[in-house]
Amino acid sequence: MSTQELLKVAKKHSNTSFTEAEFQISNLVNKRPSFAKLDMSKPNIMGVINITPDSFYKNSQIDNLNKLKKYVYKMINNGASIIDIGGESSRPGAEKISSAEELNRVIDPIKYLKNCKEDFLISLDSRNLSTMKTCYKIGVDIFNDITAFKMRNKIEFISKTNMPIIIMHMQNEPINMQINPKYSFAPIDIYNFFSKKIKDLTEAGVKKSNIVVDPGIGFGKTLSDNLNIFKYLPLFHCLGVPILIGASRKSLIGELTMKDYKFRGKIKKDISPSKRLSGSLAFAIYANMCGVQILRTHDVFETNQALICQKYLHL
Amino acid sequence: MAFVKKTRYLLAPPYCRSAKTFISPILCSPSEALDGLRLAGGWRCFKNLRVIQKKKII
Repeated sequence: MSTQELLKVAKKHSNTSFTEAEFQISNLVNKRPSFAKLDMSKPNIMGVINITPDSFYKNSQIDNLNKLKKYVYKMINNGASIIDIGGESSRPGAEKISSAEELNRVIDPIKYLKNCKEDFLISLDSRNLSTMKTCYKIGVDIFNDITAFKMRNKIEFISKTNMPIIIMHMQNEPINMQINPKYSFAPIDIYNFFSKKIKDLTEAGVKKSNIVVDPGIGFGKTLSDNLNIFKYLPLFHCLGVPILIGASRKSLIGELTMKDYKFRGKIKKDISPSKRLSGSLAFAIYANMCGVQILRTHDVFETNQALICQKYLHL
Repeated sequence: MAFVKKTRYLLAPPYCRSAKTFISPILCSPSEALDGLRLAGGWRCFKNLRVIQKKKII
């Protein structure tokens, strides 16, 4: 159905329907303001740094400042405009750690990154308010919260500091999120979640231009939920804010590969995160074709190269 | 839940009281949709929409 047809039928029904249809279409079309000074009319790459001993992808685990320096320099040089740094693993089954422990892990790396001369933004991947408060003082640029700023005091802090935020959708907590996740239809349920969340945040004083949504691939979702989110990814543009997608090295890639092996009657025990690069790139390219503004990845060079090739193919 | 391709297949008028309406743009490159709309002022374009309707329980 064309946009004109939709407007025509809506107008025929009522003025309210027409206004809503117009509003939804304008949400799709309106240029997004810059987010944390980043241009949202082009794709941006966010590199993942885990200062954790237990993140699901071992190669992303950083345990000393020398390794961090090398990693970050490479990521920025290869095309990352944001470095997302986290001190707590949120892999399925991960137990919550204390905010003191988390802070202890991230504080020196963030201080180091803050003193780097390269041009990039620091995003703090944390769900703890106390960690956010301390890192705000050091000068992080973005807060990325897997709980979508569920607590009232976090929203108040964000509203007061005017910080750019990434809100992610997750069903339950990392420790139990993959135990029988249920949706009526994941893309619509998550869309409704974001719609309400953006309304709550803006009513509390958070600027809409400071919000990015992340549907949370692999966070309390089955394989079919994850695939449906991808299939209906452009739907989230109706929210009127930029979208972030992180499918890098995630288990859905392993599951899909195993499915293929099974279909061909072959036996394959597991596809570990280290063997999920090609699948990650396929999802990154697809997300880019869906107009997703921020791609979160462990493999900045490879993702950037894939995007460059795609751009010149005019896909 | 219904996925609507043509106007005549709509469950109910868009954005009416009896059904929730969601729209998802069908995206393409700017070269494929010269008279299309630009998505969020970015690098993708669209002319058509996929309409999803869900009956409201009143």
